[in-house]
Amino acid sequence: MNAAELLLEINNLVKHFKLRSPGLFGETRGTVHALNDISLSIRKGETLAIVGESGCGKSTLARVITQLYQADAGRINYLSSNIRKNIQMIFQDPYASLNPRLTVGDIIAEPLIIHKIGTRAERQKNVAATLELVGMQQSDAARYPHQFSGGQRQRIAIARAIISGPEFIIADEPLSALDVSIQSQILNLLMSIKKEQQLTYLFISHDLASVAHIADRVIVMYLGQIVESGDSAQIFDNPGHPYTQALIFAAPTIGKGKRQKGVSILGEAASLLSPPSGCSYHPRCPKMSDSCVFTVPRLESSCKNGDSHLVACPVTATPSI
Amino acid sequence: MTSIPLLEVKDLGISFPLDDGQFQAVSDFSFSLAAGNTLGLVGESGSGKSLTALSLLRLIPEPGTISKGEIYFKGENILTLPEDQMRAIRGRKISMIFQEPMTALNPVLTIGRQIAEALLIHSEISPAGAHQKAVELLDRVGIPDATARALDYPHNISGGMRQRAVIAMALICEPEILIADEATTALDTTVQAQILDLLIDLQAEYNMAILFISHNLGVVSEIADEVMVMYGGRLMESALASQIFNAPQHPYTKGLLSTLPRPELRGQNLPTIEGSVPSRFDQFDGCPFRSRCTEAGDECRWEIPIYNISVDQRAACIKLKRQI
Repeated sequence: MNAAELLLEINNLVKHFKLRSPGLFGETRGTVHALNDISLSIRKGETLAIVGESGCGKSTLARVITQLYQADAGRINYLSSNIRKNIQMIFQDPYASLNPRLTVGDIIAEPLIIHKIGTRAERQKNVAATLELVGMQQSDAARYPHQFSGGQRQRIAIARAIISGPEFIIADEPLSALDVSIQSQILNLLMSIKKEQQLTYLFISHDLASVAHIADRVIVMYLGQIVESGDSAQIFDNPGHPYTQALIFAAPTIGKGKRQKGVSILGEAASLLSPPSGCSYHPRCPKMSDSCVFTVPRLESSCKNGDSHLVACPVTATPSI
Repeated sequence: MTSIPLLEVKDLGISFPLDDGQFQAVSDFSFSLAAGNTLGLVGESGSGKSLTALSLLRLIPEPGTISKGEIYFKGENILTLPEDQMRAIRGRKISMIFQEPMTALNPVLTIGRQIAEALLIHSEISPAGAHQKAVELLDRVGIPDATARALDYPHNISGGMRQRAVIAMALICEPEILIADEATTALDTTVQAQILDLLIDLQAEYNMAILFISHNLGVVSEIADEVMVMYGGRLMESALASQIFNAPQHPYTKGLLSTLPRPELRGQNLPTIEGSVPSRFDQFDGCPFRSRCTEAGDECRWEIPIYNISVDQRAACIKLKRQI
């Protein structure tokens, strides 16, 4: 770990949801193991991406960090004074995340009102400046969300996220609801705003291409656990965990021609209600050995890439070459 | 070649009545599809790709109509067929898999029953025989323990398994054309790869033609032999997959491919296509991409000629005239 200043530290975080039968006195039917023993740190000024498929716990993690959910165990250490003011979120669906009854100006000003920043006139000025910063017109403040396209709505959501001058922004699948021809506009905007406002990003996505583009570091999650973490180049050019390898292999690529009869990954992720014993990936893993069924693997530094690259797989960590 | 193509669409137009006139959802769209071939149809939301697919089944939602053109299935114009003859084609000769497997399946019927249904409608088979075929097909599409799963309800099985069941449903009558509309979009990446492999296998086995519709260029690149790119209800470009992805000609295709993140540009500004996708409220004459096109000129307001760039490649851009 280098000496970069930390923004946030998470130790051994656990979040389980009790599933109840319907009704007032419904009995607990099981437990969803959404997050299991998650430890990570986020450095000031970096873009940390979390990748993984549906149900891996990436959105739950975002919600625990923003205190929308309380963790069951573990610690989140915010190394910043006023975390509520300093964290903002950008959500996936800009059609759902903007209140249709408010004007764009009111939507964007809301964080300022909540945190009691500025007078009314100052807020208006701030809204106008922020609108321009995200590539919109000052006059758009008087219009309503339905008058804008998906890409413009996502710009409005970004304006709302940055107006109160936060340090840290969590973007949960900010591109996936947008048309393909709009995605690069928003990706560029996120990157330029980060530079200008000296932000730190937690970028949550299932799209590996955009993660490879924007992230400095990447965490790969599977069934509520971190299976690999490292610098973006380490993860994409030299993935260590069999799941990361499978994920990168399965990502569709352009221009390589039609799929050859592939070695596509087997099966599907197990239910979070009853995660497999040992390494939760073992039922799908081509490199599975007997010990994987019993032993929960620990994140350990990969010998190939030095100590910033952590892989939770004893099988691949053993030097075989 | 003089043989009749399996499917030939000529000058297709689909329109919806508005208070003040017509909304032209699809215009002047022509293409053909050969047995055993996979034709990719790429486009963003509102480009008309799903409506084009539905028109092949004559299932355009009300109040939309097929206002123009002909659709020939094995030489016969299906737009002039009486409804009872169309029913013999729909689901049997031409079938479709939809995007969301949870909504495509009936929650109160067992998987096996739903798969067998088309067979019971379209052939003389006994219920027991149809069930047996449904179980065989479930096994073929990679559902383990198919006999037991056939008796399950959709909510009992995972998303990937549901999509396999939906594929089995579309295949039970051994269709000649399979339409896959965003068939892998709702799935996880690793499961998506499995479903693409399955479709490629099944295509070889049944020698069916596939019309594969997606907004995801990567997925289309992995499965299509030929690709059509739509924008604003019109064909922008069509070509062999290798040509579309390696030597695109139309400004829209070129622009779209250039905006995708790629390793050489990591961390840098990506090229963009300014503006946004036209909505149904935007009425325009001429080329629908004109307002976002860096190469557009005055002539694009009036004309959208389709040029044959080579035997396999067509593009709808007047700017390409000079180059040919």
